[in-house]
Amino acid sequence: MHRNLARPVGIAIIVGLIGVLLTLPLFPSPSTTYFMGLILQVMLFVYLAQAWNLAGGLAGLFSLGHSAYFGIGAYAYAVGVAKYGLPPLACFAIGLFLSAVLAVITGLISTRLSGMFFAMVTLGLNEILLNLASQLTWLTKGDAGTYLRKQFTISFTTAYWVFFGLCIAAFVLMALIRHSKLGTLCVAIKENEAFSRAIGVNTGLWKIVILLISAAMVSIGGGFFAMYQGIVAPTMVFSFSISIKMLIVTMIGGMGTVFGPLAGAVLIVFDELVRAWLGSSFGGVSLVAYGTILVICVLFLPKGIMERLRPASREASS
Amino acid sequence: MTPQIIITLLLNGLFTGAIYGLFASGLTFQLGSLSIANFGYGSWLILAMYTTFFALKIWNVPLAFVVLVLPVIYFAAGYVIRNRLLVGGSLNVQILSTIGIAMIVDGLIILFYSPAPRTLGIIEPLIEIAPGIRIGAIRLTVFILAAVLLVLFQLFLQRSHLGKVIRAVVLEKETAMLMGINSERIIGIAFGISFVLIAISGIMLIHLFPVTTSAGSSYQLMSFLIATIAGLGNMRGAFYAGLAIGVLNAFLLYFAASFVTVVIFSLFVVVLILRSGRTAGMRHI
Amino acid sequence: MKNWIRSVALATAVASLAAPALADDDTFKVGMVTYLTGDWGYPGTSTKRSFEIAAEMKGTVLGKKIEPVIVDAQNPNNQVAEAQRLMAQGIKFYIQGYNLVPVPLARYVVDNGGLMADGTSWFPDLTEEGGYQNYFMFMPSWKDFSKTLVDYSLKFGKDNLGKDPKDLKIALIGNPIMSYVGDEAARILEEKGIPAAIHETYGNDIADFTPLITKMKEANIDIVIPYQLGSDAELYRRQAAGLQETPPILLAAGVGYDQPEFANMGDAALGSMSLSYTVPEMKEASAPGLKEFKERYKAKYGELPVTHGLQTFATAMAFFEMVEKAGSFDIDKVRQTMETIEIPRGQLPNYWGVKFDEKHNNTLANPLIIGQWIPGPDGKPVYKVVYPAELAVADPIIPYFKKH
Repeated sequence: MHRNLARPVGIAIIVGLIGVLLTLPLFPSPSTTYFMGLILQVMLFVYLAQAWNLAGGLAGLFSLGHSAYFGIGAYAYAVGVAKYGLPPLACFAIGLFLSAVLAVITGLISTRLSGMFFAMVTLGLNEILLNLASQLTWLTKGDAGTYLRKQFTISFTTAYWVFFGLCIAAFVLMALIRHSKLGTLCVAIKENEAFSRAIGVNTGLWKIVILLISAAMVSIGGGFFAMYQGIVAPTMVFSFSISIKMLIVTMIGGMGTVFGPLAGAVLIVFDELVRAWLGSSFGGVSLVAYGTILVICVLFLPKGIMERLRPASREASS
Repeated sequence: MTPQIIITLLLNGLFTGAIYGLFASGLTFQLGSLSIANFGYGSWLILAMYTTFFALKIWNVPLAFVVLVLPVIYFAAGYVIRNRLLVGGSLNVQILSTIGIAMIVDGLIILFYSPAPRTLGIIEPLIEIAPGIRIGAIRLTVFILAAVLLVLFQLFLQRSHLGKVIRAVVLEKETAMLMGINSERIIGIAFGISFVLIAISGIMLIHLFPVTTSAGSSYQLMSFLIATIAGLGNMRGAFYAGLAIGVLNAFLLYFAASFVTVVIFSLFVVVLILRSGRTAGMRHI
Repeated sequence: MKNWIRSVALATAVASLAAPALADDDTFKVGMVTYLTGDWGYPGTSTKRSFEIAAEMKGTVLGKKIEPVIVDAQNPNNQVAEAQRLMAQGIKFYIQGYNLVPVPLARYVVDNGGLMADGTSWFPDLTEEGGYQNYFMFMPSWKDFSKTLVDYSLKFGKDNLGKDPKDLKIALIGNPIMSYVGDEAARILEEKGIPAAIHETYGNDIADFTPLITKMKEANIDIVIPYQLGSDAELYRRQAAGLQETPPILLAAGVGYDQPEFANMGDAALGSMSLSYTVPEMKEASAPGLKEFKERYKAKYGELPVTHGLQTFATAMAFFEMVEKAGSFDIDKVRQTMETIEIPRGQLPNYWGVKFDEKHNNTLANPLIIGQWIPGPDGKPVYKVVYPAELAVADPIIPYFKKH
């Protein structure tokens, strides 16, 4: 009788959450702004994590270098408008094109390497881009960063709405893909690549397709991130910690699940609050706390929060 | 460019490369033989460096004491981490928990040692091996020590009883268990031993390089690079790969200092792709 | 069931962290977002401590106790979120912290009704663009820094080595984090028709300087201008000392060479000169408050502040004085006071004065100073300011090393 209870509860939570996110900006005050700022951070990483989840969670392409697409998107926009005076849309197009090139290369590599080796290659590709961004100073202005004048930036509130929209789009896209032929193929590839190939699935092609979608999402996110920050420096975007955050959020939430990245966002909130609470008085304590909570999560929820919620609802129904 | 310069660059590359080889070998052992992807490797390495610095400079402990005690503590830490936190975890679980542990280690370093960069500040005496060709004495020592250590480690794995048991567990965990070997305990011990390698590398590194709180990530990346090029688990390969990277590094620094990392990492990607057929399941120890 | 207990425990833990600090209106709160952890925790920590000492030394402003509220940025992407948190507590006034990419923070603060006194960053992006009326840059730009670096190098080449600028062989080496300083110096040299003999920006993870040292030796370099940070500077000097390769003149672009830790390597530190903003080692008599600042810092933390610490201290002291002059905590009044006030050179703990131009650049943010590591009474290296004359405490030794 309670078999489907989890579903309505889940829907209610989502609707409530969207409601809160929509109404929060209607009550402007400094503390609302703080919460919106916190939510913006969360939305940014939930969006990126969802993009990572498409390739990493669904298709098992365990990338440690997704920040490469983020950086390409951010730099395409920043360098495009600031150095070459291109219209923003053209910059996004360039970012998407370059990310697509990298995604195809990475996809081709994934047909030859898997697991740890694939992860290491993606890490290496990101490292190459990080170094190029800081060494090709004629293009990027190196570590001083590419500065964006006010007309090329968006305000905090605009950024809030942009990432709100991107998040909704990402979840819809994930839900659609998850239940489409592409999603089924990806899961098949993840579960048993050799078998998928044996029954005639062109695994290389589908891996590239899912990577392209994932890369495009991250690249767009990078472009808007640049707009919002108003400056792009190599370590802000091509950073290992950004790649890691994408996968941490996904894994804590539940790999390959539609709402995993949303559940995993708890961790970002926790990180933010710990730093706020302890950061200034004891330098290292926030790191220790964050690390501890990560280890605890892994020990008790090795397959993610979503995995825990599901059996619980099944227990309730029996 | 004179022959002296070429030889100087070559030797320097070899010696610096030996250090790379040494600190990468522990990771290689973990990755290949124990199938543990340790993302906290760099953090543990700099913890050893900071601790050695404090022991020698602040607490005035003799080096011999550090060399005896630190590896023992590291062994215990490695054993506990493996058998309490990493038991039976998938790649994902390992990555997350080792990152978590790395954060804790980094945080503790900042808390107890402060984020100030530290150095033993030793000016390396030079040895003139041929007219116009001088090499650093510490580097030479480290080179020899690293080579000896890795050979000893190989011998230990090949000849000693414990070494044989470790290899048996690595090759056939289930069979080893059927033979009455407590596999989990053995893997814990092996992981502890790899931590001993980290401790020793750290003690050596601080004699040559300054340590900062951000140094861990570059050591980590370099270790991953060397370990994957060599083939996971191939410790002898890691030493040679370290040497090769050291030499390449030296010549690149001379000719195109700006693009050392770009070239080395591009090469890394190409090498990995080219030998992809041979990397899977590679386990020689 | 167990799962539920766990989730509830976790939720409680998270919720308890969220409890906001109670507001206290009896104090004058001044915010700072700075690196305390992460890769730049060290200079950030010195910045934090110096700000706290400034608040402690000044005590009150307009009868209200100064309360510094300092938070950890950890990395560039967290700055704005941290600033929002401080703004939610009603904090309007900010002193810039030590941030590698300081622009997003400064822009957010001044775009959202705050005011920022920036005494640590040398990126003039906001003042060049204009329109940020509540942003005040106490520092000179890095372009001025590069220009001064070249000017002094050529002067030393002429006065001390007796060489015409055209005959000087100059090497610029450094890491990417500081490459804009090196690139700008190279550009100025090129413009003067004296292109740098060697100009190399190596990677951040460099472990061996022997190839670069060999290359400079081969090129017979007169002046080395390193743009480095603490750890690569230390490694470079130490390896160069080991190889007994010391250029006649080494004039560093600050940062790596003016920190107390540089002395740890002993003799290898000797001879190096460094261009800096102002450093705690300059003549105490010329800078009122400097001595007390150093003493308090030393007593509290057992070490001396670094240059960013002194800059922060001086900026904070100047800012407190300006608020006092404004006679009000009203942000517009404070801005108007800051726009018109003039603190003559030599009245601040970092010797500089304050007079903002219409773009809010500090026109009295000079002179830059040069220090040199020379043997102290016990033979150990000590850092002494040698230029300009009014701040110098020792005579420079140039060239420190004779060419082989």
